[in-house]
Amino acid sequence: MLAAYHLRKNYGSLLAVSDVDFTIGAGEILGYIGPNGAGKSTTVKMIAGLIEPSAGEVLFNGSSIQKDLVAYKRQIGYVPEEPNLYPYLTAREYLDMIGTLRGMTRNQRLERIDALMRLFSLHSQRYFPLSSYSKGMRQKVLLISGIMHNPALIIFDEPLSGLDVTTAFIFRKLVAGLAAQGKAIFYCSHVLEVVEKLCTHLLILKKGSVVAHGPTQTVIDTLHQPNLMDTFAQLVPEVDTTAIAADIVEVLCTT
Amino acid sequence: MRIFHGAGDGDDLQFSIPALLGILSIPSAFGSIQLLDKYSTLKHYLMGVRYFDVYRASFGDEYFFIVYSMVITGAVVILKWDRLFPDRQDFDNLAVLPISGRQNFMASLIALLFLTSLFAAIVNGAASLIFPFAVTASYNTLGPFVEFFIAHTVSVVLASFFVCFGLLVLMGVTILVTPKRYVRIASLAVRISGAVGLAGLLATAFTLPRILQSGAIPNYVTWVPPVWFLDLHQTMLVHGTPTIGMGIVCLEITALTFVVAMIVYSLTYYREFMRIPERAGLVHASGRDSYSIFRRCLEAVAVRSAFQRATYSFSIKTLFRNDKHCLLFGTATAMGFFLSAQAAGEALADPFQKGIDPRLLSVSLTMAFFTIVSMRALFDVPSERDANWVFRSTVDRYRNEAREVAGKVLLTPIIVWLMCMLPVHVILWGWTASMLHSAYVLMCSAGLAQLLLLKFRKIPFTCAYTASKDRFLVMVILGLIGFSLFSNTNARIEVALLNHPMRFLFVIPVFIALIWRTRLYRQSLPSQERALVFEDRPAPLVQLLNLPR
Repeated sequence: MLAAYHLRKNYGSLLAVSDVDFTIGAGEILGYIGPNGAGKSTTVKMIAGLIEPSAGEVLFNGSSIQKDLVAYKRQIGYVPEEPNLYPYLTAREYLDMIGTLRGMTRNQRLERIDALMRLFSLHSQRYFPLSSYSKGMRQKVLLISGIMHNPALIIFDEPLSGLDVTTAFIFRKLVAGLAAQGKAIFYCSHVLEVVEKLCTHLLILKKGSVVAHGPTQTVIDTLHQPNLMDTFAQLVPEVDTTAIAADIVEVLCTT
Repeated sequence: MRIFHGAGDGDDLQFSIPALLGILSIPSAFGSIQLLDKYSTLKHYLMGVRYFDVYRASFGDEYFFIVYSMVITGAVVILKWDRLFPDRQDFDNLAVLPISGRQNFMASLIALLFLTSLFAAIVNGAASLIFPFAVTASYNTLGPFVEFFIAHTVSVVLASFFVCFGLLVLMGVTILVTPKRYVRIASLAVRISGAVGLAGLLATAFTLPRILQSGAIPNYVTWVPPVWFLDLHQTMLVHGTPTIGMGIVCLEITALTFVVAMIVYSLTYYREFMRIPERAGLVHASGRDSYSIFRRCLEAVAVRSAFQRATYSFSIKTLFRNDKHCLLFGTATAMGFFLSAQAAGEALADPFQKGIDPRLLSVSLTMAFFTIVSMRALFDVPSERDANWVFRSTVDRYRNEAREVAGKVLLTPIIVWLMCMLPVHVILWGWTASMLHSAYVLMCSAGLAQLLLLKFRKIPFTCAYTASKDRFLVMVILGLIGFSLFSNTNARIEVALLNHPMRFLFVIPVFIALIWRTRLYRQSLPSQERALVFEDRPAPLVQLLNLPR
C-alpha cells in the first residue's frame, strides 16, 4: 500500500533523513522508533505530504504521492505529535471543519462525529471550546480527526501522549482492529512496550539512517534480546543511561 | 517577562514591550524636534516677528503631548490587557513555589507599578527634554526651561498614570462584577470601547486647543481629561493661563484613581488568582448544533464547495471568537462607526435643503471601507499558526479557492450592514434611491475587495506573518488616501449618479471591467505565485540554487 524508497531530507546542510526504505502493506502496522532528533517527525511529514523529500519518493498503491497529492491526502489519516488546535472552536466545530475539508457529506460528518465523540467520552463536552480541554481530551480530538473519514492509511505520531490509561488501552485495541480491517498503519512512538505489542513490523532509526527493519519479532530475535527495550538499547547506544542517572543522583546529593 | 515577551511562539501579533517603547517614543521625540523650527528665534527675526508669546503658542502643542501620552499608554494597556492580572499560567508556575500569596501579590503589584513608571518615562522621555528646550530657547537663563520642563513632565507623566490606573480600574471592575462565563465578551466590549474612547481623545487634539483659547469654553470640556492635565501644566507655569481651574483637582483625581486601582487590583487578585484551582474544572459551553436554515441557504447559494464551506465558516468564527482578531476588528469598525456617526450627525444637524446629502451616503461607504480594509489586514495575522497543519494536510496548494472565500468573507458584514440599514435608507430616500445606494455600496465594496485581494494566496488567518511590519507607515498613508477617495469622493459621485439614475448603467461596465482586469492579472501570474502559502516570509538575500555537482 505505502512504500518509501531512498527517502532523504536535507534542511540546508543538515541531513535529517538519509536513504530510508520501507513498505507497509494492508493490515500491517509499522512501528517507527528512534531517539530524539533521529528523523522520525521529518519522515512522518514526508509521508503525510506536508514536506517534499530532497531525494527518493513515497509511493501509494504504486504511484508517487506527489502526482496527485490531494487524492492521496484524501485517503490518509494523520494524527500529529502536538495537539495544535484552534482553541476558540468547539470540538464539534473543529471536527466538522476537518470532515468538510476531507470531503465528507454532511450526514456522514454529523453521524460519525457524534458517534466517535460518544465513544471517546467527549460527547458531553462537545460544545465546549477546545481551550477548555485537557491535553488528553485534545489528543482524543486529534485521534477522531485522524480516523473519522475511514482512511486506508493512518499515520500516528506519538498518539498516546496525554491519554488516560483507559483510553490508551482502548486505543491499542482500536489500532489492532483497524489493521484487522485492512488499514495500513504507520506508528511513530517512544513508548517501546506498546510498539512491541502492537506493531507487526519495526523500523529503528538513528541519526537519520535505518539501523534495523523487519518483522518485530525477527528484529528482536536477530539481536538475541528478550524485548524491544533491550534491542533498542543495543542498537542506539548514544549514552550510558545508567551512568548518567547515577551522576544526577550524585549531583543532587553532593552539591 | 510575560508582559515583556508576550504569549510565546504562536502569537504572531506580539510586540515585545522594549520594541514597542522604542517605536512609540519616536513620534513624540520627532514631533519635538519638528517644533524647534516653530519656536526658532532666528526664524521669527527673519520673518519680522518682533513679539512671539511662546507660552501661548505652546498651548496646543502641550495639549497634543498630553493626549499622545494618554493615548499611547491606554493603547498599550488595552493591547496587554490580559497580561496585567495573573492568570492560570502564573498560578501553575507560582503556586507550587514556597512563596506566600502576599509575597506573590506584592511582587505582581510592584512589577506593574514599575512597568507603568518605566513606560511613562520612556514614552515621554525625549519629548520632555526637547519640547521645553524648544519653547524656552528664546530665554537666556535656565530658569524658564526648568520651570517648563517640570510642568511638562509632571503633566504628561501624570496623564499616563491616570489612563493606566483608570483602565486598570475598569478592567478590575469588569472582572469583578461580570459573571465568569461572560467575562471574555464583557472584557472585549470594554476594550473596544476603550479603544474608541482613545481615538476620540486623539481627535480632540485637533479641535480643543482652539476652543480653549477662544475664551468661550463649552461645559462638556470639563469632562475631557487631557484638559485637566493641560490646566495642571498651565497652573505650574508662572506665565500659564489655566482655563477651567482643574489643575489641582486633576492631581486629586489621579491620586484617587491610583488608590481605587490598587483596591480593585487587590480584590481582583485575591478573588481571581486564589480561586483559579477551584475553577479549573468549570467550563462553559460556547456552541450549539448550529446547522441553521441560514447556514444551509448560505451553503446552497454562496459557499458551495467543501473547501469554501470549511474555510468560510472557519474565517468567520476566527474573526468573531478569537480575542486578538475580534479586538482589532472591533476597534477598526468602531472607528469607522465613529466617523460615520460624526458625518451623519453633521448631516442631520445641518440638513441639505435639496437633494440627497453626500454626508449621509458616505456613512455606508465609510463602514464598508473600515470593515473591508481591517479584515483584509487581519487575514494576514494568523490565529494559532501551528494549528494550520489541518489545512496543510488536506488542501491542494495549486487548486484552491482561498481568494474567492476571502472575498465572500469580506463582503458578508457589508451585506449584513446594508440589510440592517435598508429600512432607515428607505425612510430617508425612498425605495429606488435606497436600492440603488445599496447596490452601489456593494459594487464598490466588491471592487475594493478585488483590489485588496489581488495577490492574496492564503487561507485567512492561517499563514505565518513575517512581512509588512516595515511597510506599516506606507500602508497607513495609503489607507488615509483610500479612505478619502472611497468614502468622501465616492459619496459625491454617487449623489451625481442618484440625481440621474440612468447614469448607473455606466457604472456597471466599469465594475465588470475591473473584475475582468483583476481576473486577467491573476491568470497572468505564474502558478507558483498563485499557489497557496502557509508561510509568508520575505525572499532571502541569498538564494541557494542546489545545483547538482
